[in-house]
Formats: sequence, C-alpha cells, structure tokens
Amino acid sequence: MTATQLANHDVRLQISGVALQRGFRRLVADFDLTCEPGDIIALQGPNGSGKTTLLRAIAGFHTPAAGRITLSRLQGPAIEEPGEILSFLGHQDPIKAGEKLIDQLRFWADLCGARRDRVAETLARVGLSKQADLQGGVLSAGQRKRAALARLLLENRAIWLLDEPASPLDQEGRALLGALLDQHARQGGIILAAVHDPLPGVSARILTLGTAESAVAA
Amino acid sequence: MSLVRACLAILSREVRLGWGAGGGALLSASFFAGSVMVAPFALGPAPDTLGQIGPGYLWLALTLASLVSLERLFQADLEDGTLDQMLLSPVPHSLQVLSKILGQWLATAVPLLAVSPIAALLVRVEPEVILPLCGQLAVGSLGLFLIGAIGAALGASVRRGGLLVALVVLPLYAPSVIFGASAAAALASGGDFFSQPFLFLCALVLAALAFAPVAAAAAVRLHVD
Repeated sequence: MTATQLANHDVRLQISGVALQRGFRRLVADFDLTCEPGDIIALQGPNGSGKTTLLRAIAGFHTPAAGRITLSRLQGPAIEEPGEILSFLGHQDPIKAGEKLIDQLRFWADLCGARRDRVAETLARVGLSKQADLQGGVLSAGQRKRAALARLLLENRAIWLLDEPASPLDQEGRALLGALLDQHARQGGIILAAVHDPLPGVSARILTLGTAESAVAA
Repeated sequence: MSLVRACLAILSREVRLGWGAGGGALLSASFFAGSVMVAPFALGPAPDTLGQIGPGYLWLALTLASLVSLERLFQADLEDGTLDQMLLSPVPHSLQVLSKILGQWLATAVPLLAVSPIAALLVRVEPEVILPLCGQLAVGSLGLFLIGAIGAALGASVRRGGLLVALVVLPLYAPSVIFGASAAAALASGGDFFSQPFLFLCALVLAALAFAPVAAAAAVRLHVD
C-alpha cells in the first residue's frame, strides 16, 4: 500500500469554547482547539480529567454543555455525520468472543464500505495474520488492540480519535502504532490521542486537561 | 449498494452470533416448546378443553418466549463498544437497528416457528388448522420482535434489565396479542386465514416495521453518551 493509493485527507477540526460535564461535575471549561491536516495531539491529564469525554464529544456521542465542535472539509461537500470522516478507538474493543477475527473485520469492512480483499492485507499489516482464524474470545488484550487498529486502517477516515491506544501493546506493537500514526499524519490525517505516556515514534503537540475541575451548581 | 451490503452484513452477523457459541438463539424456541409441553399437565389433558384453549395458548407462549431473547439485543453491543462504531458508520442508524432486529428474528424466531406445528399438536389444535395458525404466528412474531426492540433499546444499559424490558414491552404487546389470538380463534372455528383480526395484526406489524426501528434507534442513542 503506497501513499499515492490513498486519497490525501483534508479536513479541519475546530473546537471553540467547549465545556464538558459529567453529572454535576464540570470536567473541561472553555476549551479551544484547532486541528489542521497532519496534526498530532496528545491529550494528557490525570484520571477523570475528561480526556475520554472530550474524545467522545468530538465523535458526537456526548453532547457538550456549551461550545461548538465543527468538522469541515477544506474543499468539497459539507460534513453531515461525524462518521463520514472520523474513526474512534475507545478503551473497549468491539470484539465478539464467539466469532473468528477475520469475520469480524470483514463485518467492519462491509459496514464502512471498504473492499473485502483489503482485510487480509490489513491484518498482515498489524501482525495478526496467524490469528485470523481464531475466535475473538481467545485473543489477548494487545491482539485485540491491534485488531482495532486494523479496523481503523480499513475505515480510512481522516480523523483518528484514540483513547489510550498504546496501553496493552508490546514493544513491537508500539513501534507499529508509531509507524501507523506517522503514516496517517503524513497523509494529512488528524490524530487526537488520550495518553499517559508519550505517543511512540511521533512528536505530538501536548495538551493538558484537568485544570478546570470544579463543581457546578444544579 | 454499500447500504444494502452493510445491512446484510449486520443481519447475517446477528444470525451467526446467535447460532455461535453462547449466542442463545435456541433459548426462545426451548422456552416456547417447554411452556407448551407443560400445558396439558397444567390445564388437564381433556381434548375438548385443550382444543378450545390451544390456539390462544400458543399465542401466550409466543409472547413470553419472545421476551426471553430481548434483554441482550442491544446490551452486548453497548458493553463492548460495537454500538459506538455502528453509530460512526455511514449507514442510517434506524436501518442498522432494523437489520439487527430482522437478524435476531431470523436467528431466534425461525427455530421457534419450526417447532410450533408440533407444539400445536400437543395442545390439540385441529390438524388442518395447524399450518395456517403457524403462518399467523410467524407474522405475529415479527411484530412482537419489532415492538420488543423498543423496550430492549430503552433497557439496554440496565444490568439484569429483563424485568424492566418486560414491563415496558408487555403493554405494547397487548394489541398484537389481542388481534393474533382472535385471528387464531377465528381459524379454529373454521374462519378464513385472512380474517379481519388477522388483517389488523398485519397492519400492526407493518406499522411496527416503520416506527419501531426509528424509536429503538433513538432509544439506543441515549445510552451511548
């Protein structure tokens, strides 16, 4: 797979004045961020500082208490659904215990409209060729994360939202993650990752959350 | 075309997971068969009594059996993050939910319907009425699964939410059961297959086909936040 085969991404993510709230607790207040093609952002902060909630808000799962999150293409039609241009890798891995790995990836390929013949090649890319015929239930945590990365590659969307992507990966897996991140950024993709350790292999802009902590009156 | 491909993928995966290890596709069918099997013990084996109660009893068994499979319809996907990913797919969410319900129906209700002729024999339904009656049960079961999905979606994030789902769903089941059982009674007393109650049941199923996926999709969306 060469870079010329893939369309270069050109989208922009703008977050302005966003406040995030869980229950009565305000996690993030007045948060601004603009991401241009090729940006890699590492979100840091203590547990409970709102990293995951911010990622989920960008993905459209969580509605911010205030502010706007705008996704736009530099050229071309307006974006109606975040799913058109955005992939989300959460800390849960959507792997079914009773289904073969290759079938699960074929399912994701069908769902996002990717070519089915790319599945085997993508599995090889993340080092899971030998595990293709194993049931999801027997995969280790690191292998599940690699499978989730394979899904990201199949979806081939511009913005990657990653929640602790490196945590269960071994040394080799981290190197692989670094290579994938680097390639994605070079193709004009945007990466936002919630991390505790620095992202492997790439230099990222670091944003620290967790300074806005305060209780909000009901 | 990619829309059709995605919907077929969801549907076939639902069937595959239902029949795979721990999928529980046979749970409803066994519940149905079991509850019909004990009917002669509970109600007495007298052919006259059973023959009168039989068609209605099959509807009762179908209603309760369809509740059994509802709890897990969305819960597993919510827990492992599959639902997040499905929300990010380009396919409209209500279509995804519809495909999921149809897949669940194929995996769960088809075995149930396959055993229903034998179940009908056990409760002394007249032999010539059995196949039309099972046809009506098939139509009705689709309606029950569609309506039940709304409750399943509302209770998706509740642990052991089966009770909640049953409480939400049973009142919604009432019209289908009333028309289904009247249609069955009409059949048993020598009426047409397309009797008035059955046409009403068909109308209910069609309405559920249109509304239930939208309602269930909206309800599922609430749990993702």
